[in-house]
Amino acid sequence: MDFDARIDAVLRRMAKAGIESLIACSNGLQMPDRPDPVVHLSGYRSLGESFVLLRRDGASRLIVSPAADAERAAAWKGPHACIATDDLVGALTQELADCKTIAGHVAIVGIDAFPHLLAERLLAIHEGAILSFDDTFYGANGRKTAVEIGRARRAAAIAEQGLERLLVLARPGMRECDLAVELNCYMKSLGADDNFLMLCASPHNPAVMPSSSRKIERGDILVTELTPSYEGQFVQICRTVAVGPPLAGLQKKYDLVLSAMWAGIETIRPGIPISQVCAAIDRVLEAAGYAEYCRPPHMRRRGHGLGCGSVAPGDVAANNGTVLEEDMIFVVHPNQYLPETGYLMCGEPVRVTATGAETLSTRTAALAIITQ
Amino acid sequence: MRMKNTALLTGPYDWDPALVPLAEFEARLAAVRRVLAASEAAALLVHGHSVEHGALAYLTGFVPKLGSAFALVPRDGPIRILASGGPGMISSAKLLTWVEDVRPLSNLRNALGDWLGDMFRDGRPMLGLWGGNIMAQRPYLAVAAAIQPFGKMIDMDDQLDALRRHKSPREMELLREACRILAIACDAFERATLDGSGARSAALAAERAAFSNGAQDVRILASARDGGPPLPFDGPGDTRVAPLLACLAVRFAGYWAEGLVTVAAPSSGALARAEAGLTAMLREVRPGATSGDLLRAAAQHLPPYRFHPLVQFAFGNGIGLSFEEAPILDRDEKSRLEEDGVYTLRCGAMGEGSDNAVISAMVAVSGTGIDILWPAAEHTSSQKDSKGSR
Repeated sequence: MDFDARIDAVLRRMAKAGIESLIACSNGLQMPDRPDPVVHLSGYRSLGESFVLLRRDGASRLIVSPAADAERAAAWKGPHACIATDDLVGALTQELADCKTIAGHVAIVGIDAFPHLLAERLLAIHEGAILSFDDTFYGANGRKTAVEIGRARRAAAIAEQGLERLLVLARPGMRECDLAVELNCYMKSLGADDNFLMLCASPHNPAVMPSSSRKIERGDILVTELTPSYEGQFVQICRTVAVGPPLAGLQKKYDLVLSAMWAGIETIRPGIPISQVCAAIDRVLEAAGYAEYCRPPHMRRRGHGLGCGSVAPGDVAANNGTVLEEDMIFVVHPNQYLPETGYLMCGEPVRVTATGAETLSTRTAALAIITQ
Repeated sequence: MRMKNTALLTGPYDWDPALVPLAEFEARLAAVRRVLAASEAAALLVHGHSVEHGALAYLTGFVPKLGSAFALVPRDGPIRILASGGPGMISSAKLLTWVEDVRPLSNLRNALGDWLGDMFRDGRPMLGLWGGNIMAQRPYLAVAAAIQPFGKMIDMDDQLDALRRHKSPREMELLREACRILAIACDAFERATLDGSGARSAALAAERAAFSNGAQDVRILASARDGGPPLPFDGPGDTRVAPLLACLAVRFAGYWAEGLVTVAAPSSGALARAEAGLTAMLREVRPGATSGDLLRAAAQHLPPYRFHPLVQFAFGNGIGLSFEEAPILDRDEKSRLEEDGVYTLRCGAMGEGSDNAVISAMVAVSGTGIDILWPAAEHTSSQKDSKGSR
């Protein structure tokens, strides 16, 4: 799998739907669990908003903002010719005029997350554009390329080193946010370019939350998701750390959540809907008497795809029928609230293989304990 | 300037009344409500998201870390905040603001509809929208659909952003502190570079220095080649670059400070021209000065160099709770500096090959003159050695 094959798959879907031109829109905010169609088609992470214009004959153009990014755009070695501009819609309009695209045969993807002022300008130009092509677009190919898989492995290694660093640094009296900042800087020093790093601590966490200024205390349960991005590919590991001797019963409850995670991971193989992974996790927890906590508001999803780019196969959720394909990458995280312990986190990034799942992390989740 | 966005804000963002007292927010709320009354708007909806939330932070202190957030502001009575994230995350969200009523934003259309239904039982009032211009398409359509049955939505960005352009004494203190941290970050960046570090390592040294001095956030762009424009770090490469052009931004208590620097540039003609241009710009700074005044002043000192592309069209802007606030100082003669405004002013020169430079200053404009917030006087222009400058 490479970008050319990915683009070919999109072109086939465009041809089938009678679409002459596809406009992929990015808002410039790359997130681990939100798709970015420009990154998916090009690998380019723009500073500002950007478009990929893809024509049915395969011709394409990457248009990025701001104009100050011109040097990076010019040096870009991706699958599309690239220009940088401060007038994104104007540049796109010119491109479309040059290729005499017929209105009504244009599909736009990613417009929901696009700034609405730009979106309205775009829609004014393309009245009647097809706006319902997103699922078809991402469904065309949710597999990661070999390069993206390599980046995911590197990101997983960085996440694990981040956890090791956490276990060295975290101490009672330290503010959550200071620990999070330190971990962020550390993972950057290892090559991460971004990080969706949630970390909080409490004797009874209702959920994992962004770090606050609260000081970590002995008796806390620290929960974290370390989500570094390496060259644009996010990977996530989820972990739980007892600060001081763990409460009686915590290990047993954590083992339960771990067994649910492994039940989910062992279910993974190409050809099954991802909802089966969620069901396997739920079964373990329901059998232990926690059915109530397997539904909203306690539970929304048991993991998710990892961008940026495509986040296929999407959420590990009961209502997601996306069929798994080889080389899809996602995180499986039961991340369960239990009334006795509060929120507990364990999660591993996995790659779907020809016969099952490969865990990208090398030291998988276990309840960690800070003794000092 | 566009900086690289970050997936999640991790620094210290909880509301600290010692830094921004409740009285400061009460004064802002009163001013906003006066504008609402004058505009005959019955209520106000304030929007922000994790990338841009200046209006929301101005009124509530709230910084949305996960997606969008809204403040629902009636003409009288308590404010409500709707924050992205599940119900279990609300305890964390409440720490970010003085507003007591913080609720999860599960379904925007329903949440807004409930609030509007409680407030507007008859008539078709006008509802102001602040921060709407930065809203993504989907939430914008949801807001419009929620408001439509109750009344008319009016865009109040221009009227209300005007309040933010004039910094209070407390805001000035916070901006000074942000500039102090910026200076520390720039020193660390320059020191690391001159000690032989690559651009990425120098940026990391600057980040650590800023965070350890109280910064909430740090963003850095830097040259990827000798004399190249400041760019985001795309990969793990850590090349030594000279001259190294960079843009550093630090945030303290919500307030941004920005600095362009050129380091490791011995006997650079471009740097000398950029410094002369910026000095000339600073001499023109006063209430009422236009962007044209500043541009012409700088332009006299540039030849034979050209304006650096980074500053060719926009060479400054207001700065505060947003990294880029009005006015944008570009070639449009209508942009004017105002009393009690704080601005970042940039100048840059482009010569042959790697002989390029960018520098900047942060200034506060008062009725009696200007106050250079950054760089400190001892660092400006000719008093700095030839290896680097800001």
